[in-house]
Amino acid sequence: MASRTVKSRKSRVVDPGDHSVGDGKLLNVVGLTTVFHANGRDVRAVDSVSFHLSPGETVCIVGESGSGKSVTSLSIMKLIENEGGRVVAGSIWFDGDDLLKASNEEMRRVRGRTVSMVFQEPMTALNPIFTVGSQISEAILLHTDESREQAWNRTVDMLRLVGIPEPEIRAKQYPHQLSGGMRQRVVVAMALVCNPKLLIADEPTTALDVTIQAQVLDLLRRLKRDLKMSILLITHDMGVAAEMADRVVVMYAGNVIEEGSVEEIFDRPLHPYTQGLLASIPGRNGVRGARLHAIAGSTPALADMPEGCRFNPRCPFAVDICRVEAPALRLVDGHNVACHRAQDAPVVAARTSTAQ
Amino acid sequence: MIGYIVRRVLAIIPVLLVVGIVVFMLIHLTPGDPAQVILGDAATPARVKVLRHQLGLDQPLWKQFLTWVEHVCRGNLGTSLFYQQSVVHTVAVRVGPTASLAGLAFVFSLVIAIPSALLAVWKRGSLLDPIFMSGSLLGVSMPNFWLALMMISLFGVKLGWLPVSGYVPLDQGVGLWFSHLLMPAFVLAIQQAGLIARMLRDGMLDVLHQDYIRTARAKGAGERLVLLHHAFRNALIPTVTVIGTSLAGLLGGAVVTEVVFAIPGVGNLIVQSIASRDFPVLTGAVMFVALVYVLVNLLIDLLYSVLDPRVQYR
Ligand SMILES: Nc1ncnc2c1ncn2[C@@H]1O[C@H](COP(=O)(O)OP(=O)(O)OP(=O)(O)O)[C@@H](O)[C@H]1O
Ligand SMILES: [Mg+2]
Repeated sequence: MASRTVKSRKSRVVDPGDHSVGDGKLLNVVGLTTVFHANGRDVRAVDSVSFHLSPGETVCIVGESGSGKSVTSLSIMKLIENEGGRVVAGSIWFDGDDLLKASNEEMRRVRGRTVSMVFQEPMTALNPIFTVGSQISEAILLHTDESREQAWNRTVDMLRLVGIPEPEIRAKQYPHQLSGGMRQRVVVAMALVCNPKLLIADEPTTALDVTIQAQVLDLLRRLKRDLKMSILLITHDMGVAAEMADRVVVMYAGNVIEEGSVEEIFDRPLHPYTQGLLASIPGRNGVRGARLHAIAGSTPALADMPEGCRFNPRCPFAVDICRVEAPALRLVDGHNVACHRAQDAPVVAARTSTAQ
Repeated sequence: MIGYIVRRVLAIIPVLLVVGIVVFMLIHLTPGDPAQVILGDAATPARVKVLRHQLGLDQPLWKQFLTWVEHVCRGNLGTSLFYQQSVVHTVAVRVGPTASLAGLAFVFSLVIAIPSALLAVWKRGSLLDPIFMSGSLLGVSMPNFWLALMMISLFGVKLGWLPVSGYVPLDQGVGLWFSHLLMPAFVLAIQQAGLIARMLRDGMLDVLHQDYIRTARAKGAGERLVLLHHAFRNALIPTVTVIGTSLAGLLGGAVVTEVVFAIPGVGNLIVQSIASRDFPVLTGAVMFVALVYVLVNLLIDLLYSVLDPRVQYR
């Protein structure tokens, strides 16, 4: 029923000349702008963000805290309204449909079935008063006609697949009886049980300790291959991005400031901000364990964004134009960057010193 | 679990003893002489003295107290000074009306509170929410006796739809029983419903900000499932405390309402026994109220472990 309405809507709203449809992209975010209402006015947490993701690809969104990564992912799921935000412009093309034009009921059928999401905090992401098995089964029952037993069996299989020992027993336990790593596996199992085409994982490992973190990342890689899905992975850890990504989208203060293949970004970072992020990876270039080279300063508050390039107050290379004109994303040396000085000598020099 | 319940039940005994002692002391330290009350103002001092002796009231206080404790420990709460009936019997015949009224009021309050709280949460941010808030405030703060009198004069006197007062036991006809209790139960329910609904609404709004609600939405749960299953079940945990206190209060006898509607319940008995200085009955009735409170609290604690898997009693 819903798929039929989606299809008929497609033919109505999609301009045949629109390049965003039918070019093989699974997800194409175009000009996404999301605002929060604060002190009587709207502030833009995400401003004209565009990026895309092809089937089978892993795209990482990286950026410091507050750069708008979570707001972007929640906007894609259309869950941002529950957090008090509002998408005011843009399109989110998924598999040929603009999710922003989908009704609540259509969106409900997308969530958990074709697009799933895993959140950062495994300790609070599960409902404390229901067994983990029932929470996974719920996802199956919501999207299929399976009986309770069938759903339960599939739940147990899924728990086994994500590497939980004794899944029959674990399925009947409550979240507080499981460790953090276990819970995150449960959350992953819940997200993947309906075999989605796209998994959005918002810092799925940040709250976990390092060994568990590596296990969960391995798990995501394995499941991606086995279940043939795509992953939009959000992280502020460049190490995780290097390990997981096919392509990297770098965000700063609500903008995409650089975007390209993982090799491009890591070997030839064009934006001074990306260069700073890379320099902050421990053990990268130079002595292992050398003091982290963090970027001085912090992300500006939404309410007072600097004029021009939003990074200019923190940028070592900023010149006059950076303070008045916001740079557009443009193709430079094989990937996209939003920096007036990307091709200027000092920035180019810095690029080689931060790259491997 | 069984061990826990046994321990809790055993702990009731000292609680009741302490309550009894406090009531005993309060009664005997306040002025007023039951012998005088029984015999009336015209009685001669000599007759009062004889009766005082018969009732054991001429003994020193500590001696009366010890006698009382001794009797209580043997399960004998004494005899009413007025009815020539055991205290246990005097209180027991009042439990039926009070339990009927409390049960009905309790059901009414839940039937009013739960749907209205759900509606307020479902339509949060709309005009319904301030309406709900003022409604619950009104319910909580409206004086019982006032609402009772208004209802009596409207439905009882003017329209003649319902009996003005009194009580008919259940075995004399459900219809009669219900029609007599409808108004008093509603009066009681309005107040409790205000409290319960407010607690449930606040609890649910609180729960709706939790991460697991976002997880539920992310897996495709619709608003109805999110509210009725995920949020409601979690918000019920804090609400159960209020529901339990409310039930205990109702079972303990709604004094004002029982008096206004002339329902021969425990609340009414307490008022009568204070007026007539019927010490043994008053003590027994108050101990009954205390017992109800303790038992309902135990019930609530057990309910917690059913509602919340994180709560385990050993
Ligand atoms: N519910 C909200 N109300 C108001 N502002 C918000 C809300 N959620 C996020 N923001 C603002 O939007 C901006 C982007 O936040 P977002 O959570 O997307 O950052 P992030 O990149 O995910 O950071 P982190 O790495 O800390 O998760 C921040 O400035 C934040 O303060
Ligand atoms: Mg975030």
